[in-house]
Amino acid sequence: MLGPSGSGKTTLLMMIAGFVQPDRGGIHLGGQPITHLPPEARNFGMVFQGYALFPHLSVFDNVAFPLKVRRRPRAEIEEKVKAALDLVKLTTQSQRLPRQLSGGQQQRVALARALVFTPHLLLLDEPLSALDKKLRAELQEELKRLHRKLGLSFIYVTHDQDEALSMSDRIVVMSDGRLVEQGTPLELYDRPRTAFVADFLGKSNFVRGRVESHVEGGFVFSGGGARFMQQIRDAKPDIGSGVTVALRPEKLSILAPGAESDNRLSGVVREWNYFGSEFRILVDTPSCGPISVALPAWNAGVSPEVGQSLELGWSAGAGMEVQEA
Amino acid sequence: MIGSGFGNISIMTRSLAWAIICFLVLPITVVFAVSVTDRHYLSLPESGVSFQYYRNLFGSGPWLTSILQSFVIACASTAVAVVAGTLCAIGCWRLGSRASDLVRMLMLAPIMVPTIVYALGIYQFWIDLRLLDTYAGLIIAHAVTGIPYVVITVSTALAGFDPRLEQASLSLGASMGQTLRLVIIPNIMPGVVSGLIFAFIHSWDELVLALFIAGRAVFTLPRRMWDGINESLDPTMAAVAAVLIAVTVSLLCADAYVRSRRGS
Repeated sequence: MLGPSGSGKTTLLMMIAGFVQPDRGGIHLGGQPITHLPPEARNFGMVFQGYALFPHLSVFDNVAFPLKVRRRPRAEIEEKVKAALDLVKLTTQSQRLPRQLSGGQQQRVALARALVFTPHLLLLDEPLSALDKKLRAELQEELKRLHRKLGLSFIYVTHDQDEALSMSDRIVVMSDGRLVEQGTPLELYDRPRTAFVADFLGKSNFVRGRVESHVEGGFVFSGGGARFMQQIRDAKPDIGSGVTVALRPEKLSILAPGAESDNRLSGVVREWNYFGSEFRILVDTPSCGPISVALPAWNAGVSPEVGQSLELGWSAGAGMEVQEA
Repeated sequence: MIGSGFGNISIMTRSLAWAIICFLVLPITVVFAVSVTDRHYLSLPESGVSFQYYRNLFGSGPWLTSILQSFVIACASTAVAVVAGTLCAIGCWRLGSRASDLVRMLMLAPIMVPTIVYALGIYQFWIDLRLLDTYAGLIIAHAVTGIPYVVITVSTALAGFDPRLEQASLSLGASMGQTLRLVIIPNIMPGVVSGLIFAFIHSWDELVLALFIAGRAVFTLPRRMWDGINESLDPTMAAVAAVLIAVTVSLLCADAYVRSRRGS
């Protein structure tokens, strides 16, 4: 589940976990209604933001907690806790208290505790947000490895779009308490249906205009005095209707003089930034306002300069027709 | 670490602080001096130190009976107050609504209403219930007036308790009872212990209620001291006071120790 802060993703997770009752509607797991079940009867593992480890219990006792409250025999507890700590590579620290561990280690304990009782589902509420970038990448890899190994469904809440793209099988994008769009990372990034997702999951430029005519496999629309070609998505939009086309910065190119392109747009460089692997250039265009372009640095062709005039081009299939709001 | 800031404090502030400490503490120390007097009335020792009144205290039936009665009543009423007060504080904390603020306020009523008014009310009430001059009567009255101390200290401890720990416990399959026993109580233990100590001290040296609703069969230690001062100026009183102070101070030290161990 991905969304900006305040979009309701944690509230939705709390409903799945059973801490918040929905005003309307129901929650089902594998076809069974679970809306009426209290959290302790749902058998879902949960990793909280800030981990919520029990500060008065050792690592071992934290992980053993779900088994103890289920009154499992002692030998089984020993064995399962060991296995769970093994899984997160924390066997040597089992007698320490949570506050004696680093953030990454605490995270692993929280994970072991949520997995030790073989839950039906694992819920994670921004589990990596408190960690630094490098550790986060490491734990992301580890979570993916665990996910493959256990074959258990994870519901992962994050506001970090890169995390969502790299870790998910399916992404649900939320905004203002609503589900905006859902799909695989590839679908959502490559073929977003809404302007919100096009701009939130990566960045997009938007070109707006009115449909002028239909052509083979596409249509022509005009905006700000310029004409553009666009491939159709599902059906041809009515002539005269308004359209919004999202353009990924990396799908734009700078045209060499005299080069052919479906669409062309001239403008002046307002600012540029170098990121090692790429240039990001902001181009002021008279017909479409500021347009941002990302060019692979090794293949940029030009070295940008502020005030330089240039012509941008993209193919009719590069843009994606999206719904506003 | 705390001491490092003292260097900046002016001499004025420091002497004022010491003056106030002396004002608060010195009168108490007089009691210790009086308790070892060698004379026959409440006075400072004249020609030597004598422990006769301590012998008198621990050798006399009535004084020892009163100490035992006070101790039993304090223990029983503390137990009731701690359980009721802790559960009340946790309940209010879990609800977290306007209504719970009101309940918390109501719980503090016994220490906001003047004790004498409260004692009168209980007296009237206890007549009908035939609880006058019984252990149960005094234990209940002390327990009710002890609850506010527990509610305050436990509520304070709960304010620092991460509610996600409760959610974590529930999500891991613990019932509400198990969560209370295994997660919430252990984490607010310092608050519970402080409340326990305050409730105990409250009952241990409570006089007004003891005057109103007990008198013959139940004769607590403060009550006997009160009578002793009214009837004779027996220095045994000073010995009792010294013992009481010692008990209270050691309880407070225990409280400080529990807190510091938790804090480290």
